[in-house]
Parts: sequence; C-alpha cells; structure tokens
Amino acid sequence: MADQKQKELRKRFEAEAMIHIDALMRTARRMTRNEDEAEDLVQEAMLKSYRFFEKFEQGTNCKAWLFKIMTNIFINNYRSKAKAPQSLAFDDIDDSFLFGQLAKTKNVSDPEAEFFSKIFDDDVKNAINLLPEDFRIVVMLSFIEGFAYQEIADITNLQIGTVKSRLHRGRKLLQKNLWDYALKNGYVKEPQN
Amino acid sequence: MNCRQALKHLYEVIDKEANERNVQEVERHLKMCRHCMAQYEFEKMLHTVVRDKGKNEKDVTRVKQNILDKLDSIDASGEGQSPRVPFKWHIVAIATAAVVILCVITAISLSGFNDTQTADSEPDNSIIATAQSDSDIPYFIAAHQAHSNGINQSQGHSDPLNYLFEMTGIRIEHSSDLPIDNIHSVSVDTIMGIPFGCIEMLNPQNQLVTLFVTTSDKYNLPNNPIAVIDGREMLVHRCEKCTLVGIEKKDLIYMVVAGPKCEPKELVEIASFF
Repeated sequence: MADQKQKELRKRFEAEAMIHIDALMRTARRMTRNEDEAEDLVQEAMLKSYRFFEKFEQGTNCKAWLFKIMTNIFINNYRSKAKAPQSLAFDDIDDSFLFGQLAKTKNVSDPEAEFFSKIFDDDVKNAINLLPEDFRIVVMLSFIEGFAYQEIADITNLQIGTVKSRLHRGRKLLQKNLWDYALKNGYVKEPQN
Repeated sequence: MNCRQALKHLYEVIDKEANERNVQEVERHLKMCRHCMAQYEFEKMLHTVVRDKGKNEKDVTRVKQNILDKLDSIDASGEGQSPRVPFKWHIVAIATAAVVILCVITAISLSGFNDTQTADSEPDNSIIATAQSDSDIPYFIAAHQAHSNGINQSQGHSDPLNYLFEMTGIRIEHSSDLPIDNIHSVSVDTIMGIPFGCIEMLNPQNQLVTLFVTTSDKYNLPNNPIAVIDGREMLVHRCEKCTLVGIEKKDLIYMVVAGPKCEPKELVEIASFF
C-alpha cells in the first residue's frame, strides 16, 4: 500500500515538478553565478519539494511553488553574507535609457535593429549577472520566467510594491549594462553630444 | 493621457500587468504619438530579446539524473513522505513519547547527579536554566520542555499566526511549505522578561519542535556557541536534552528548539519556512 502510494507520488512529481528543472537551473545559475552552487541549490530545492510534495496542493502553480522553495533556500543559505553597500546612482539612468542612447547614434540607419541583431545570448546573461542580487532575482523571475508581479511577491516574500520598484531599477540597470557591453564590444559607437 | 503618463504605464503594459483602463489609454496615446510608439516598440523588442536570449542554457540532463538518483534513494529509505496518520493523534503520540523520554531523562539525571532529590518531583525549569549557563539558551530549553510537558499551552486557534500577530505584533506569513495543519499551538511566553511568540509545530520529519520568535530590538542572539551550517554561521546548541538553533532574519529572531535527536539542519529549515 505504502509502496504503491509512494510510486504514484513519484510519478506525479516527475510529471509536474521535474519538468521545471531547466527553468530552475537557469535561474539558479544567475542567482549563484557559479555552476556548482547552482546545481547544489537546484538539487536541494528539488529534494525538499519532493519531501513536501504530498502537501503541495494539486492544480496550483507548481512552478511558482518550486521557485519559492528554491528562492528561500538561496536567500537563507547561499546569498553572499556581506551585503555590499549599494551606491548605484539609479536616478542618473533614465527610463528607456537604451532607446535614448541608440537614438543618439547617427551613423547607422536603424540603430535599434542593428543593436538587437548583434546582441548575443551571453551578452544578455552577462548583463543580468552584473545586476545586484536583489534586482537580479526579480529580473530573472519576471523577464525570463514570466512570473506575474504578484507571483514574484509570493516567491520572494516581498511586498508587491517592492517587487515593482526592484524590477523598475533592475530594468534600468540592465539597459545600462547592455549598452556598456555593446560599447565595449564595438557593436555601437559612443554617441557624440 | 499625455506622453509622461503613457510612459509611466509602458512597462506595466509590456509586462501585461496594467489594468484594462490603462491599457486602453496607453494604446490610444500610442496611436497618436509616433515617438512614444517607437519607444514602446523598442521596449517590447528588448523584452523579447532578453527573454529569448536569456533562456538558452546548457543541457541539464546530468543535473536531472543526479536528482532522480537521489529520489531513488529517498524512496528506498522510505523517508520521503510523512505517513498519513490523522493529525491530532499523531501529535498526541509524539507528545506522549516526548514526555516519556523527558521523564526518563529527568529520572536518570536526577538519580545520577543528585541522590537527595526525590524521584517523583516535577521537572524543575530552574535546574535546567542554571545548568552550565554561559548564555541565555537554557531559558529556551526550559520553555521548550515546559511546552513538551503540556504546561502553558494554548490550543487550537483557527488562524494561529494571526493570533500571534494580535498578541505580539509579529507578523509571520504562512507558506505553502508549512501548512497550517502542521502548527499545533501558538502561545505567548515571557522568557527572560521578553515576550516571545511560541509556535509548536511538526517538522518535516514529524518531530515536535518549538519555534520562539521575537523582534530583534528586544533581544540579541548570544554570540556563542556558533556553528556553521551550509556555510552560514548561526547559533547552535546541542545537549542530551535538546537541539536549539537561533537565526536572525528580517528583523526577527527565531529560536527553534527540538528534542535531542533532531538535526540542527532541520531546524534551520523550519526557520527558513517563515
């Protein structure tokens, strides 16, 4: 009896939870910025969720549930202990920073299309990796994993207002990072004022 | 809606988080304003590019296989899931076992260390509280044992964590990891003159543990003994009576106390649930 129940649970876990390993791994990689730690984090999260899977309410969002477990483990056990003071001047970066910068580049006919065609996968990942941890997590959950603001608030235990403001600042910084990358790699030229 | 207002809601529209009215107004503005339209299209494109290019990752087959192997060993050891025993009975069984064990321990320690003490005396908190004390930990152990012995227990509130909030102002959110069914009782105790919320609950291994929680401006975690669990320093105390873990998190201090057989790591997980 018990064996049968365990087998069914395992089957259900593989069908509903294991399919999110790819998503969990990519977010874990951005969270930890370290391949070994990312694997450990995902493994710990999956084993924990397996132990609790019986209590997971079927029909609710399994992906969000798994991300919540993983994010909790990350925040409690993995995040860098010494929180670096954040002296980032967000106000210096306009909303739509990238659009503004590209509009100033006069040497190509369609600077936006040019820019997008040259940005590689690794450029995007590096730009995300450079974000401070708090912003990195919400940017990953929103941009890459497509969670709604409220889901992100539930996953990270933050107020929805905090999620929005972190996403807003994260977006600005992400644009700045992408622009810096493009400049560094010669995809664009510094606009002349 | 002017340009400034439209741009204010632009990201909400892209994230599909704007309300119906704002969506319509932004759309109406975009139809009239070429500049904002260009900006909207750029931002939308950027969102797509980041999403698509940020998604491509290395193969995770090996990671997946490692996890499946670990699941196999959990299944084989039978420790995977908690047995489906009616909840209240389970608590009673564990609590009874705890009391029996405590009585045995108390009897052994009393007979072993103090022959003049009568064997039928109640477990005396002061004995524990003054024993080899270089920190405040024994107080928590005493409080935990008082709970285990059924003293000072408040039963069944329909929403225990809300009761805790009303009594102490400490807000702890329920999480899907820790269903309300696993919380046995919530009470408010004064330990060392400081009010603590006390949550008695089951851990994933179905052991009865007590979680003490207070605000950090009223109490500071003792500096020792410190242990490192998963690379993180925290207060850990183990003796033949109890296991205790202290964690400071989000302006609250958690003290999780359980029986001697509980692993500190499990208690860390308990505090992480909240």
